[in-house]
Amino acid sequence: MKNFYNNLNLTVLISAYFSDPEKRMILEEGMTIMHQGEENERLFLVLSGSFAGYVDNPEGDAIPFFQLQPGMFAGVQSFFSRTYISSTTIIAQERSEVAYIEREQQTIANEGNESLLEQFMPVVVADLAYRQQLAHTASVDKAQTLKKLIASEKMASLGQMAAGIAHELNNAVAVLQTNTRWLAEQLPILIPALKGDAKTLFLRGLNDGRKMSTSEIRKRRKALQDRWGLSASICDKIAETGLSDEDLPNSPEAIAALIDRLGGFWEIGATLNGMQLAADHAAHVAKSVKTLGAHHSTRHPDVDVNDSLREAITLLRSPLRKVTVASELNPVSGITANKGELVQIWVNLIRNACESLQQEKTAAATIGIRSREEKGAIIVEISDNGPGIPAETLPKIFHPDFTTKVSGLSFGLGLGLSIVQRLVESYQGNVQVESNREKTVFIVQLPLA
Amino acid sequence: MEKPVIICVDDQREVLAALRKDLAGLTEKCEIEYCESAEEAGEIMNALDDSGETTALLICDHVMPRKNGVDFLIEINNDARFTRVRKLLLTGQATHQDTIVAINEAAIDRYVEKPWQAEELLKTVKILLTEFLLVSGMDYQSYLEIIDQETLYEQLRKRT
Repeated sequence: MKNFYNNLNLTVLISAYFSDPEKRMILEEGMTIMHQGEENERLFLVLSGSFAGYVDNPEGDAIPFFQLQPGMFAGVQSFFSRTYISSTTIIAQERSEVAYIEREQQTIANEGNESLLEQFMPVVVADLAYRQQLAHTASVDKAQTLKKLIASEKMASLGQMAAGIAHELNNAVAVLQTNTRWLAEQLPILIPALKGDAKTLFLRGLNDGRKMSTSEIRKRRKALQDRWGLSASICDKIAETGLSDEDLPNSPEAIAALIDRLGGFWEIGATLNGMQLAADHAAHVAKSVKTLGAHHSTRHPDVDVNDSLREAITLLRSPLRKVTVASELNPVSGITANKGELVQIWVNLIRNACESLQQEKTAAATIGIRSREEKGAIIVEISDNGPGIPAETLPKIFHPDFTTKVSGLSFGLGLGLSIVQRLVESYQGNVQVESNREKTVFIVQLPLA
Repeated sequence: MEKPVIICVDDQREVLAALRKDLAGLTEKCEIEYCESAEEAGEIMNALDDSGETTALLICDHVMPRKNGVDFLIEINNDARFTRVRKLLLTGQATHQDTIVAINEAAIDRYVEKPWQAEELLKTVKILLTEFLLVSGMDYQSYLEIIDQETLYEQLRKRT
């Protein structure tokens, strides 16, 4: 807080009015020099120690309003407004000394022949300016607090709803997941026809799924049609299964018969594979949604942030295989944290980086992971050399319903970054993002204490 | 006999596999192509057009990486070669605004929501194929298996 008295030269004034040793007081900590709404006929100058000014709100609570340091005045308003009624209660914060003048104080002769009020005008103005600044700061604080409160309430209710939906969804998904797995296991046991080459094809579908792309299927279909003169639908079926020429018999009739007899078994396997994939994905989505509404999990002291980063990198081994990872993990102090939560923060950020690189097909795709300690905080930077986040989307990326991911089973719910923000804020930390055409960096700051 | 071509576009192979099952009954009279992206579908439609074949129906997902379904359908709608192609938007994730654009700018013929019911989808596909056959002046007698009778009668009644 700017001290408006610092710029004033009050030496002459102070020595003229506040040097009477009779008009000095020592106040012990907790003693009051004036009460809000009560009479005050003195103007005080703080010589040593400190005071706090309080105002009572309608509920009767004393709200701290200002601080007085040596060189500052108390009672300016009541004294010079001539109401002689104090607008605040002023209490000594420690053993303090004040000098004062009283209502009856006569003007002391001075160079400019100014009246008492004229001589004190700079003090009155400084006092008003100080109070106005306090009021200004208080209203800004209030607005910010209100905004935060609304945001956190919104998140809390969204979180509760999300947790409810996730719970319901999980029940349904669990049934699908378990039953699909059961079917996959039981079919070869229960269906007598599922043996020999039928079983081989069934397992091929079950284990590999639909690994052929539509364009690969078209190419293969064309080759098979050209070679054997078989119908498009038979060739399509062979192409889908991924059976190579060596796997096939040597005449069109035999191939057609084989596919007619066995194609269905492959299809059953591949269908079960697809169902498992979809159920696993739904379970993953439900789990992410649930964390959005989760309460704090247990936190332990001395958690190594670098460990959590390594764990996240291990978890993401398979998507990270397609990019270069440049990690620079500098030794950092342990923090009180839940390792799982930290891992979740990094997984979300790293996966995001990965997906944006893949989606944009960035050449020489690189993800940078860096940790360091700075000014009582651990700083983790996750960067990627993708095409950056457009300036107009930047303000939206932490909103729970924002997503850029659109592809297939791995489409995004837009929850990732809002989960990151929520978790980081629960550690009193913050997430920042810087992005340009060459690089995007997410900077997470976690305070040590 | 010329076979009308149906093109299905969805970036998820599992969805294409499900469509393949539901449309299996049409393969006698139609050729069905499956594509994982709008770009792939565009290439196939170009190739078909070059060899003088006709795309009858485009079944397209909306949310796909790179080019989305509605943008692709708008392109097709503005392409003079494909004015007769029937367009079906098959999606679980289109906003109100996307839908308005799909109707106004891509002139889609039908909108089917995911997850779909096999019978409803098949019925819708048959209606659109029937419309296509009549608009193209093809001999519908040869395609009775894939025709929707009601639509046929209605369209014929309108003509007389």
